[in-house]
Amino acid sequence: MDDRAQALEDLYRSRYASFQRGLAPIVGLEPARDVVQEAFARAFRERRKYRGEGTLEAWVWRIAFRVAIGSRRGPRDLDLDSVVEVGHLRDERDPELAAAIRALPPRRRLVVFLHYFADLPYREIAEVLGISEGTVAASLAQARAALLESLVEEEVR
Amino acid sequence: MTEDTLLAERLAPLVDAPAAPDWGDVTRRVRRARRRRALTTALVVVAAVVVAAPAFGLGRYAIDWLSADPAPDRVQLDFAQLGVGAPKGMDPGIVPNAARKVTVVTLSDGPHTLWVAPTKSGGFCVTWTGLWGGCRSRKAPAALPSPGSWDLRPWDLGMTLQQEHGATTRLGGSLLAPEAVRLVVDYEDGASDEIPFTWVSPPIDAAFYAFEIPTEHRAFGHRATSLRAVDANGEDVARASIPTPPPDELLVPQRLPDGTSVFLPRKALAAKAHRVTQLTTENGTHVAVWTLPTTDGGTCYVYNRGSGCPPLGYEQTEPMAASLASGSNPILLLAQVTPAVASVELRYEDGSTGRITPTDGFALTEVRPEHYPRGHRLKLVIALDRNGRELQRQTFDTSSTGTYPCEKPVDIGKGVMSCP
Repeated sequence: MDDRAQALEDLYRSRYASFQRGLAPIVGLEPARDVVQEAFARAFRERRKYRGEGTLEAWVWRIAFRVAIGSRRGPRDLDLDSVVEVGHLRDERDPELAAAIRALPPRRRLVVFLHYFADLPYREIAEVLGISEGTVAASLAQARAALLESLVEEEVR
Repeated sequence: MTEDTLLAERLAPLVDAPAAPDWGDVTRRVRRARRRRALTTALVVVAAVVVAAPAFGLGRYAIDWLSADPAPDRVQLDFAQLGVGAPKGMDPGIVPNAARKVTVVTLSDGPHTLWVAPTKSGGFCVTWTGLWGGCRSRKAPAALPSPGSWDLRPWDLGMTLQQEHGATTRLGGSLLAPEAVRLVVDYEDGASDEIPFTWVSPPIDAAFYAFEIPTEHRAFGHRATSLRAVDANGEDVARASIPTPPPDELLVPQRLPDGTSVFLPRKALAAKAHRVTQLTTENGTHVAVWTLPTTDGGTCYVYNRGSGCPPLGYEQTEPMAASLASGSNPILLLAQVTPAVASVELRYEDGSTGRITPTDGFALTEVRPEHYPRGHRLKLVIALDRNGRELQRQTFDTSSTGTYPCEKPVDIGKGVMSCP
């Protein structure tokens, strides 16, 4: 197995859960599994196309987003303001926080998922979504403030 | 606790644990796509159909090996590649140009073709398209673990399992018991299913099966528990248990105290993990070995390239068990040692040596890139007591391909690209 293939396998084994959780807001948690499998299969087949610009993980994330968008029934473009679904949230485990997530604008919600559920740092979120790192930081700060506010309200009650 | 950490902890339970990873499925998808592409490009339609005649009754079919369709070149090449790069003594000795098509089984994702090739030693190798493959000899190896009290002739009942969430979803394999007329899978709830199988005449002289477990038998309390080959008198002639791990042994994503996300059994208490030893490799990778208590009083360990949870009551009998995490940079050596081991010495082919001191039963080091080329590789690891007396030595094969990374993989035979 060549180095790039091994690196992809290592990435898959160490980051599988993050990929599935990060893609869940686009296609749902269960279908995200198939998207992750297909994305890594495509990345494996096309690994020679990875030019080393950016991290290997960010490159696979971009493929995964393409696969996820392609698998949706709706529009086939990555419109950050419309892609985020939250049907897979387990509201009963934390109703206030779940409601606060649902209340976030879709783009902010996606950034939250990529950061908190997929463990992606700002730089990679920016790379994956094609937005600036500053935009990621700002989106996350606003989302964090809104979510923490919901927790504070809950404790005050 | 920072606001960010607080939020992360509160958010985590809102999403269910993902399914277990399955790299085998990824590679199968790669192969499927390659085959689809090859077919499209060549505009070749393979319409060969094997007609399997029911021979002995429901579920058992017979194939005359000499009448079976020969395998096309691409399948013969797949078989030829199976033996390339095998460690010393492990080459199965496949006869690729004798490969034939045996049967087609349709599962939920479509048809899967079984190709079989004999080996020089009287065994055979198989490839199920899109499923699995492998080789086996007719004779059980001497090192085969003794069967459990319930298992019977386990070597004669080859079994490959695909499992998700602790339940078997597919199973397949080969059967070396010619007296068997039925193959039965039993479930936890007392139900059972009969598995169709195809008997192939000599020189293969074995039966093959691939089966998908019905959805209703993938839930706890209903899972597959065993496979039995039964003769015409209703007696078991071979049987083997199927693992049914309890819920607390299922792998779930957990977070170590430093924030690293890892897959560990549910019973492992990641929040109570203790970092035993750590290092930063030459390429900047941070490597750490952690031990974790489990809810049943045991201990697990985890590090960047693997993890394990020895069964309760397990005691390491050998002074040292060392393993090389290889294939990509960094190459790591992890040795689990008993308290008698005071240091571990590493010896390389070029005469250079290294020494590591274990911490809490673990010795970890990087095999640095200057030891990747042939002639410089790690060949021997020696466990020493506090007086420098040798307790145990463990050798490593320095000639096998694919162990050490390289700049440019080369063709090591039959088009297989690997680092020499």
